[in-house]
This record gives sequence, structure tokens and C-alpha cells, in this order.
Amino acid sequence: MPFDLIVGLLVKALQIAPKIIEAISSSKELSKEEKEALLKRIVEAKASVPEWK
Amino acid sequence: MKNWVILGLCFLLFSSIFAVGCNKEKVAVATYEGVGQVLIEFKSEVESKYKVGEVNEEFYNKAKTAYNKARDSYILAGDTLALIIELEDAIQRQALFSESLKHLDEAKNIIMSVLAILESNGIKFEKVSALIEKFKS
Repeated sequence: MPFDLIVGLLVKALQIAPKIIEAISSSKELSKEEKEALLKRIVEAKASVPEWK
Repeated sequence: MKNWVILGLCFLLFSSIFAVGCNKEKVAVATYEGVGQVLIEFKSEVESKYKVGEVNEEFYNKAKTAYNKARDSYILAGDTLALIIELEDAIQRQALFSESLKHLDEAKNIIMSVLAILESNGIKFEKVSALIEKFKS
């Protein structure tokens, strides 16, 4: 493969990398267990900040 | 030259794995917990300084009002965040993310403004300030 073509492909790949990352991260769905764990953490965090009477 | 291509592909692969590992919801919950710690520390530090007379009644009441106001925003942010996690629709989730962040910002700003008032009156809050710095980094 000619040098310019390889470099060109590599540059293109790096240019689209952020888009790939964004697409993958936004399409990642949490599992049921992960959701439950996060919800539990939110409930605990809320409860740990009491009203100041 | 083949090595460069392999290196480039490896970069893409690792970046993708990293992106998948750093889920938005997980980061948001960690941030939420961080703001909660700041609120808890703020309350505790004001109370202990009030007990030893470092904070007078006027500032104590100001801090208390601000805390409760910040707490209201904090609870709202938590409710919104919980909703985001339960939602299936990505577009709705994105819209609610902004709302949740807005409430968290409100809570943080209320505490920061009261801290500024107290510190301008010579009352230092080392623990809260250290937590905020840690949180920023």
C-alpha cells in the first residue's frame, strides 16, 4: 500500500474517532442491575443530606 | 508502516472501550454524591463553628437558610437523575440531563455564595473548601 494512502486512512480514522466514541457511549444502555445500583446510590445520597431544622 | 495502522486501530478500539466504561449516568451519580458531601460538610462545619462562637447567630441563620434552599435544589436534581436512569428514551434522557445539572448548579452556587459571604467576614471553612477543590479536580 502506498505510504500516502495509509497515512490518509489513518488520519481519516482519527478524525472520525470522536464520532464513533460518542455514538458508542450514547448507545450504551445500563443493565437492570446497574440501574438499580445507581438508583440506590441516589436514594442514599438524598437521605444523607437532611433538612436543617 | 503496518505498525502505524495497527496502532491507529488500537487507539480507536481503546477509546471506544473507555467511552463505554465511562457511562454518562454513572458520572452524573458520582457528581451528585460529590455535591451531597459538600452540603453535609458545610452544615457540619457551620454547626461546629457556631458552637465554639466562631460563627454568630446572624451568619448561622443565613447559612441554615442557604443550606435548606440548596438542599431543595439537590433533592430536585436527584429526582430528575433517578428519572433519567429509569427512562428508555435517549432524547428525553438528554433533555432531563440538562435539567438535573441545572438543579445541581443551583445547589452548588447557593453554597458558594454563602461561603463567600462567611469567608469575607473572616470565617474560614477549610474542610468545605478542600472538598470543593477536590470536587473541581
